[in-house]
Amino acid sequence: MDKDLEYLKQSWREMDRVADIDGGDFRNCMKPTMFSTYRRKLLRSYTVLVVISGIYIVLGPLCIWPMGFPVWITVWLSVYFGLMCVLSFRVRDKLLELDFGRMNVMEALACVDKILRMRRMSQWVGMVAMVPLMVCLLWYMYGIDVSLFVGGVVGGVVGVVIGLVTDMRMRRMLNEIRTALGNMLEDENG
Amino acid sequence: MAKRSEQQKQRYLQIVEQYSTLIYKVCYMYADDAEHLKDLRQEVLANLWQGLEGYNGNSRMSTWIYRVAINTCITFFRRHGKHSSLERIDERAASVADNSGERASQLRQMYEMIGRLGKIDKALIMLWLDEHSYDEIADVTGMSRGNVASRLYRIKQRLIAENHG
Repeated sequence: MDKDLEYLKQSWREMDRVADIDGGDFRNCMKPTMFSTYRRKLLRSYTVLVVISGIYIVLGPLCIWPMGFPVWITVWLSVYFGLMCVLSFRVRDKLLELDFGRMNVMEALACVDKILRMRRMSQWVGMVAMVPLMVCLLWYMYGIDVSLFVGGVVGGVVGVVIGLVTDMRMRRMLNEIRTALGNMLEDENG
Repeated sequence: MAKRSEQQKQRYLQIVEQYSTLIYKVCYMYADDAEHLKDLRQEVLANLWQGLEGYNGNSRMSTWIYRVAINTCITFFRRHGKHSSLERIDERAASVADNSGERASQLRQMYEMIGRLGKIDKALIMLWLDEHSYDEIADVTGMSRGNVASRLYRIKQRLIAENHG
């Protein structure tokens, strides 16, 4: 083997001497309140989403029905929350499958790729279902009470901004993961 | 998070203490800056803690740790953009080398090239530098042994060319 590569190996071993070892970190990882991995945070978020959207399948229509909204809007709202509940459940299910210890790099990348794509899909489906629903809700809110309408607009704008920012980050990560995965699969297939 | 016995906690502490340099080196290879390095290490340590129950001993402990660490680093989603300084791996490696300035310079060039590699190739060269067999590297990455061999061959050729170029 080339001497340079041998020397490279030797230098890699010598890097052990300068590796920064901090024993304090280890203990933090066993306390869920002090540190939470990104995966665990996502799992928690999606569990909350499943529960809340599940509750709002019934609660949403119950809230707006007494205000005089038509039946078809209350049904639409219920269907929207039902859809979000199912999609969130699927993402959560996939997150539970993710196991970095058991999976090799290719499997882990493929799983993360699937999770990110499912997230994006649920965001898009949510937007497609929600935008016309919001327009109708705002229309009726305006007819009922202007302050209700203003509150609805503000809430909608905030939601859109948050959604767009999240989507941008998601897209960047998705592209990175897909590039890495694509490179691996390309080489496997020759 | 499921409650763990004191025995499991002690086992975890022993393992991470024993392999702390391995974890550090993997994270260092993938980190852009000091903040990123800290995040990666914490993420890896947390994933090791979570996954320890599922470790059934059918692979070497170092192979299992490599798998978790590399998977974590490759898929880590950096949520904030703040940067802090971190000595580049080529500079650190050169400063560790206790040979002539020429050797240090060659070393720097090779590590610079490794720093520019894609995420998967970084994983391959790291595992090779740590004396893992092609079969073990294939097991960690999920690539075929042939693919591992050909990719590593290309990377090594590039390293040699970089060094003599």
